[in-house]
Amino acid sequence: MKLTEYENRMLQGEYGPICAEALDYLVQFGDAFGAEKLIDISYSHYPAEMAIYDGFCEDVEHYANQGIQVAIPTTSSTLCCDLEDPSLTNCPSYLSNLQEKTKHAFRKMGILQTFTCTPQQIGFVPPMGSYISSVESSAIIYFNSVVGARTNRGGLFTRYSSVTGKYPAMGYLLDENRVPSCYCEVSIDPNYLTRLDQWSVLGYLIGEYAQDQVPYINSSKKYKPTMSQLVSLGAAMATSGSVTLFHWKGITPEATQYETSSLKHLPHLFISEKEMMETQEKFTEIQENQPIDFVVLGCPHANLSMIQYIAEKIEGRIIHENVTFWVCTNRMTKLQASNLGFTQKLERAGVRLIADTCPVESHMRSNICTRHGIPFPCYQTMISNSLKMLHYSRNLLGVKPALLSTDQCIESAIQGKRVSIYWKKDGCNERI
Amino acid sequence: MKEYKGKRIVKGSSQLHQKIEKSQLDVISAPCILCPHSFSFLGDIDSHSGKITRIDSPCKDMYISQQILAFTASKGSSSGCVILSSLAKQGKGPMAIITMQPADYNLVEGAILGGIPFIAEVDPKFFEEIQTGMQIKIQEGVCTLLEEKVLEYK
Repeated sequence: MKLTEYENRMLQGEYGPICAEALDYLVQFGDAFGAEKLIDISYSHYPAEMAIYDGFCEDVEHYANQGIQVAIPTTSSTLCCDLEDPSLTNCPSYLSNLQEKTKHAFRKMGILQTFTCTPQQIGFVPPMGSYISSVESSAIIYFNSVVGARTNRGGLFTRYSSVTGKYPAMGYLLDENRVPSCYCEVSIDPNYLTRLDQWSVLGYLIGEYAQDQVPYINSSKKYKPTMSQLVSLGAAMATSGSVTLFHWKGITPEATQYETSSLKHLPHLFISEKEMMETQEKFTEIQENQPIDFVVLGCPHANLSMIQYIAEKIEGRIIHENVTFWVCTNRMTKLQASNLGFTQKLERAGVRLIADTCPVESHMRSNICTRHGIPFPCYQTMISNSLKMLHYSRNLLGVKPALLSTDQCIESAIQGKRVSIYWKKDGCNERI
Repeated sequence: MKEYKGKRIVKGSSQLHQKIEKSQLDVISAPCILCPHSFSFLGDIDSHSGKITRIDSPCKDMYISQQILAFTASKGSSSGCVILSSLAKQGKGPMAIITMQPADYNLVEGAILGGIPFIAEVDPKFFEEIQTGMQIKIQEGVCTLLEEKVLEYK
């Protein structure tokens, strides 16, 4: 790999041993994929160093104690509990105390304590074409596809990018790897694509087919997805597959570079309402009228309009006594929700507005429960509007899943049982 | 013995966090675990024990430690990298990873940090020949089936 004079000086230790080590790792990483040089990046979304993984909090604490600071604006991903009120998720104090170390370490390093999987929803929207380094598969696919920024599926090396401001020129940072490599024809009545659960199902189907390819999506129908719907779509694609970038004619910015007719020779997937309903059924193991005990909305983390929607829907009603209802978001949005009175409406109904975390990232995983003597599973069932949440929770939390619309999730929580599922648009626009 | 080519992405190292050039493992020979599906380190495996937990996998309940883990492609959450390196830290990671599809950047980060050799884009014919429990060898970017006898999985 060819390095600049500045990079060489960094590698020689002129800017300290931590930067030298970080750059060394990035060079090794780039060499593994044949990268020719390093690129300057302008933003980084950093992994959370969660307490549920052994040694990670201590590791980042040690790292921060060496006096290193991030070189570029850096946000941070989710934790294993709501750090401001760990009792909201019943997190064992051992874990929340350990997780506190992360907060202090991040502060020392200059990392913003955003603790969210959707930094794009709190204003971190890098300019189109900019190079960034990000963790969190749902944010990565959103940045690449909807925003047009460039990142690979980042992991722990985001740390090294954050402190050096560098990333190897490879993968989705390069034009040649952003070209569509498979084709998806979506033929769904727009009335079937009005809710988050439906966008989630569509994404899951595309991801299952595309795996690590770049899908080009086309449709003769017109859709006008909201930001939340595109977040759900991408999150599901990056769950059933490892899709990092998709193009959708008329929706995503880079799709305009391609002529649909010239892509029709690519491997093809056709999606209609039939495939959508089959997938929805696959994730609905709870029968109608069966009692439920856990409802989760906000995967990926809810934005302010979703919280507003849920708060207004549930205002004046109370959830069933056997049901725990989480709405997951980040701490900034929670603060805004409180200022606008949404949090209070949710709390009066018995709904918990959770910041910093989500069930999948929490102590409720089987291995953590076993270690801390917590009866497993913590809940028998889970109702959600997110296939990503249900996909991971089925295995990690041992719950029986059911995929419902946001309205049906709320109604089920109030009745304490799974309500009937209707698939067509019922005249109600979710406005999320 | 037939040899099948792949692309060596990570050389691997014998000790955690040791620079990969310093202590390169040239030859690794171990029984393999073949997952005939794409694999997510979040959700498909227990992050403390290294036991495969994916419900619909033929490899469910097998431990990846001391084995060469083979799967078609990696997928899913970007926590995969964290879980792989965490398993390696605890000594419960695989001896090596081989995949049919190109390497996933996220997982490669975990492999570098965990010192786990990683070979990608291995000839699909190799995946047709091997079964879980067979002894295989990897050297540079080449995979070889050493013993067709399937060892009883313990």
